[in-house]
Formats: sequence, C-alpha cells, structure tokens
Amino acid sequence: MTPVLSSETPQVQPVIEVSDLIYKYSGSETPAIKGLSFSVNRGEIFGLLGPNGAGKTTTLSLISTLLKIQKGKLVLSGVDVSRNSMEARRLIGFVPQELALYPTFSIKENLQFFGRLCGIRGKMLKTRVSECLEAVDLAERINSPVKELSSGMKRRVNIAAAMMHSPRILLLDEPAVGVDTQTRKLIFEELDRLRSTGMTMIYTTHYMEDAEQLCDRIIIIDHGKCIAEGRPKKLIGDRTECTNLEELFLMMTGKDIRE
Amino acid sequence: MYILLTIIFKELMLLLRDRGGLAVLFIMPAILLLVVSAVQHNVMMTLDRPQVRILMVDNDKGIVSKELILFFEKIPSIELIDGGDGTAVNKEDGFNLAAKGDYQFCLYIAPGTSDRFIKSAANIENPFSSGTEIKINQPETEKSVAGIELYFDPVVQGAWRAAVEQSIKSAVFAIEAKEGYKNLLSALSQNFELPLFNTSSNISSARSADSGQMPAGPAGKGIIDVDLKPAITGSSRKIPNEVQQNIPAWTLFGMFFIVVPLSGALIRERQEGTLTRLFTLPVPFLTLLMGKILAYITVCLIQAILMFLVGMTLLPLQGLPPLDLGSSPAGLLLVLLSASYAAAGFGIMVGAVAKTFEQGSMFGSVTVVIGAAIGGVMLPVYVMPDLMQKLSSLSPFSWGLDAFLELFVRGGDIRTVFPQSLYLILFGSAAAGIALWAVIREKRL
Repeated sequence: MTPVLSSETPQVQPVIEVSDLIYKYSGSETPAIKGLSFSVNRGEIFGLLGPNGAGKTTTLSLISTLLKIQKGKLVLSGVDVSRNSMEARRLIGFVPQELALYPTFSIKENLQFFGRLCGIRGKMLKTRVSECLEAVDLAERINSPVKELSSGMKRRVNIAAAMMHSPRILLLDEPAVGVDTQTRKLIFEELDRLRSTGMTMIYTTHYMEDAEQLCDRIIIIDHGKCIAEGRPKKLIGDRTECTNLEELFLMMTGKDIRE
Repeated sequence: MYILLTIIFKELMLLLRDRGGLAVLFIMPAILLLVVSAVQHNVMMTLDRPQVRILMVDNDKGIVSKELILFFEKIPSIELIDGGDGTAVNKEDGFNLAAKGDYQFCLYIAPGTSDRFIKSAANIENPFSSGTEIKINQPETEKSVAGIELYFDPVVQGAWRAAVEQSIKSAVFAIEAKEGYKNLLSALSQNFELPLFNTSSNISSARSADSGQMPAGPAGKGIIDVDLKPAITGSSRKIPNEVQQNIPAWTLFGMFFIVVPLSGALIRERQEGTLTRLFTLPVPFLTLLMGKILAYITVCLIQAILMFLVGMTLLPLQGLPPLDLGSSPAGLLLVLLSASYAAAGFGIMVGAVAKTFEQGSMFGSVTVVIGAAIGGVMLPVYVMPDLMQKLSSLSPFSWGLDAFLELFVRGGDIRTVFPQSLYLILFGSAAAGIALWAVIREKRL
C-alpha cells in the first residue's frame, strides 16, 4: 500500500470538511470512495487529482450534492450537506466537465436563466450577468448564441454560469480541457482573481502541470483513497527522485493505463 | 467517397452498439404492426363476431319483435341483446344505457305495435271486392304505425348508424312484405278459392337467396315507422356529427405527440450536462420536473385551442358542420388540463428512461401511435375485437376521447367527465413518478 506522504493541519477554519466519506454505487462490489478525508481552507485552490476511476468525479458529485452521502460527513461553510443539501447548494457553484449550457440560447439568456434559478432578480440579475461576463472577458459577446461560440469561449461561459449566484465555493471539473493556451491562461487568471477575493475552489484535472501551477494544495486519490495530500512543491520536494508533479503522480499511481 | 463510407460505417456502428435503440427500431414497429392489424382486423374482414350490439327492449312481444329477432339472428355483424333479462325492462332503461355508451343502440318496440301493425296491414283494400287495381302504397298518415324507436349512443359514427338503421328498415320491410303477402293470399283464396301457401317458408327462401346481403329498404315509408334518435340526456339535443367525433380524437393524438420533443429535450439536457448543473442549483428536482410539465401543458393547451379553432372556422368552409364545444367550459378545461398533464408526464417519463435521443424519439412516437390505435383515435373502440376493447380501457387516449365525446356529443358536464379526468391525472402522476424514480435511481446525468 502506498503511504500518504504528508498531511497538513489547516491554520484557519476550513470551508470544506470531508470526513471518512464512503460511497458505494448500487450494483458495485467495492465502494468508489473508501473513507476519504480532507479539508479546504478559505481562498484556497485545492487540486483533486487521480487517474481514471480513482473516485474524483464521485467525490466532486458528493460535494456538489449530485450524489447522496451514504457514510461519513461533509460540511461546507458550517452547513452539513447530509442535513441541508439545499442550503449547501447556495454555497457552491459547479462547473461541469461538459459545456452545460443551452446552445440555442444567447450567453445572456443562459446566464439569466441560471441566475434566476438561484433567486437573482431585476437589476441584480443584470449586474451579475455583466460582472460574470467581464470576468471571463466575454462582455462584448453577450447576445451571441452559445452554439456560435468557439470551444474556448464556451468554456468561459461555462465558468461564468457557475458564478452567477456569487458562490463561496467553486467546483471545477476539468474546466480547461480542450482549450487553447490563451484561453487557458485567461481561465487561470480569473481563478487567481477569484482566489484573491476569498473564493474556495476544488479543481480536478488530468494535467499535472496545471495543478502544479494553479493549486495551493492537492490531494491524489486512487481506488477511492487518499494517497497523497499537501502543497505541490512540498510533495515533490519530499521525493528526491521526482522533479515535477507528473513524475510524482506516475510514481504514486503507476504507469498502467486505467480503464 | 471514402469519407462518405467512413461516416456511414460510423453511424451504423453507433446504432449497432445502441441495443436499446435497436430494440426500439425493430421491435416497436412490429408491435405497432400487430396492434394496428388486430384493431383493423374486424373492419377489413367479415367475421362471425358481432360488431354492433343492439339492446332490445321488447314491450310488444308480438309478431313484429319475433320477426325482428329471427331477422337479426341471420346477420352475424349484429348482436341483439334481450333487455328483458333485467338489463333494460323499459324504454327509459334502454335509452339511458345507450346514452351512457354501454350499448351502441337501443331498439325499443312499444306495447301493441304488432296488434296495430296487423290491423293496419289488414286494412289494405281488397282489390278483388272493389274491382280496382291493388294499392300498395297507401297514404302514410293513415297507414303508419309508430312503434319502433332506435336510440343510438351519440358517439356512434354516422356510417355505423346508417348501416344499423338500414338493417332494421330492411327487417321491417320483410315483416311488412310477409304480412302483405299473407293478406294478399288470403284475399285471393277468398275470391278464387285457392289453397293458402306457406308464407313463412317462401319469405325465408327469398331472404336466404339474397346471399346473406340485407335487402334494400323500401323507397317509401312502410306501415311500421322506424324512428332513429340520438340518446342524449339533459337539455342538450345536438345531433352528433363527424366533426364532433374526429376533432377530439386527433387533438388528443397531437397533444400526446409532445412526447417526442419533450423527451428529446430532457435527453439533450442530460447529454449536454445542463441537467447536471440544474441539479447543483438550489432548486428541488420536483420543481424542475413541474416546470417542464407545466411548460408542455401550456403547449398542449395551445395545440388544442388551435385544433378547436380549425374545427370551428376552417372546417365549415369545406362544407362541414362547425365544431360545437358543448355546454360545459369547466368540464372542457378539466379534460384539457388532465389530458395535457398525462401527455407531459408521459413525455418526461420517456425522456428519463430512454438512454439515447434515438431511443426516446422512436419509443415515444411509436407508443403514441399504438396508444392512439388502441384508444379509438383511428377506429371506434366498439368495432374492435374483444381483446382490443379490453386493452382500450387501459389507454389514456380512450379516457381522454371518452371525456371529450361526453362533453361534445353526449352533452355531459364536469361531473360526468371527472372519472376519465381522474384516470388521466393518475396516469400523468404515475409517469412523472417513474421519471423521478429513474433519475434518482440512475442519476442519469
């Protein structure tokens, strides 16, 4: 069994607290998540890393309330997700891996729709649409139908839609997949800006370089368990044979291709 | 060409790997074929099974009713049911059963009809005593016997009504001819001392020589009047027509066809990830579900209003009677809302259960056609085989159609359409419940 490299005790009250989380899909013999625990502090970008089938999506689905917690505890800004999932949803903004937008709607119509569902009305709605679009540098395309946008633009609208209700926590499931370098840079700059405002983020990616560059702390999970957690530089530094996060990742999870 | 073949191959491979889609593509049309064939079987072929059920309320018990029974025994497409077994012992019972649709027709024979008929028939002038020519067609006012009334369920379509009316008139004509023949022979035997022939066997022989075809009715009015009347209760006395019967049927068909866009929209939302996003917003799934249902109920209502407007404005331009929406706006609103809810619930269910867009659209459209065929949209339920009639009672189309016809044709109101509306609401709720269960169980995001 691969040992957990290190663990760090947060200095401040964590915004996300995951304790002994266990989740088993019906029909599956083994749990997808086996007693996972970690915490994320306010204003941190926390990288959730792991090979295919490691349990990243399940973990993100549990935090985003898409899946119901079976065992363990999950607290978001003091709200117990098991007990009050609706309140927890007000705290989170979810950026799915898919472009979760209505292609025939304009950018504005998409943002207005998701904003209204979060209870935003009137002038506030207009203001939030403008703010979110400025944040992703798409204000001038406000009336463009989503289907006419480039892949990178769609990714940016995808993020903007998750920010409409000013969530405290942003869950990003591979938000920069398939985008060009310029768009990736823009996305990272925006996430950096959000971090400076105190927003807490969980970021999943298969690009170790991105995680190394962007994340304050990371967790590597495999087979539903945590195998490493800490600051990327520290984790890399603890292993003299590794010069970057990708090498560390491959060393810890193996080079076999996962199904 | 190579690129085109590559694309064709890719599409075929995608289809082959979608087992559900394949089942829908190949099994559902087969089911459709079986159902429609079974439904049409009776119409397309002459079978021994009766197609029309006539409840007979015989308060005469004389020669007329006996001859009618004998006549209809020889027509396999008509089943004569004796109301004297307690089903309907008087005219009111029979009328009400036809009005409710329990029987398509009620044949009422008034007391003393046979006696009056025999007397009238005997009053034909004896040509041999006066020395003048035989007068076959006597003045109607003097010779007609009001005795047979044929009440029909207002939802019975015109062609069937005409066929049954013609059959009864033919039977009456045969009775009149037989009696006339008997009287003529009697007159002849009195004047020329001829032996009496066996009239019954002669008439029977004449009838059987007609190759089972019903004889054409008399051109003019005979001795016995056959009065055809719709069995309509209450103050409404509208004469039913094809417009009243067909528009509700095809309106329902159109309403249920929203299953295709509705299920498609849900499947696309799932595939594009928007449903995932919606599930992470502080909105209960039930609210999302109801939002969809209400949106499509609105679509169905607009659809129905347009269909009704066509019935009221465009059809009269083609010489057809205008659609009459009945006299119960509340009843109509209840039926429209409940049918729309049932259709929307069904669409949501298909969208939640189907794995691909192809599955949803194919399954949705084919089940709607099957449901419509079973439910009497394409053919009246009463002409279907027994099994199909039983299945029909399970189709929401049948409930909806029955409710519309109750309002448009039978003169019903909100009370009389409540049971059918309740079935539709329960169906819609059950379908929405299955959708909810499917989404929660599968988390098909």
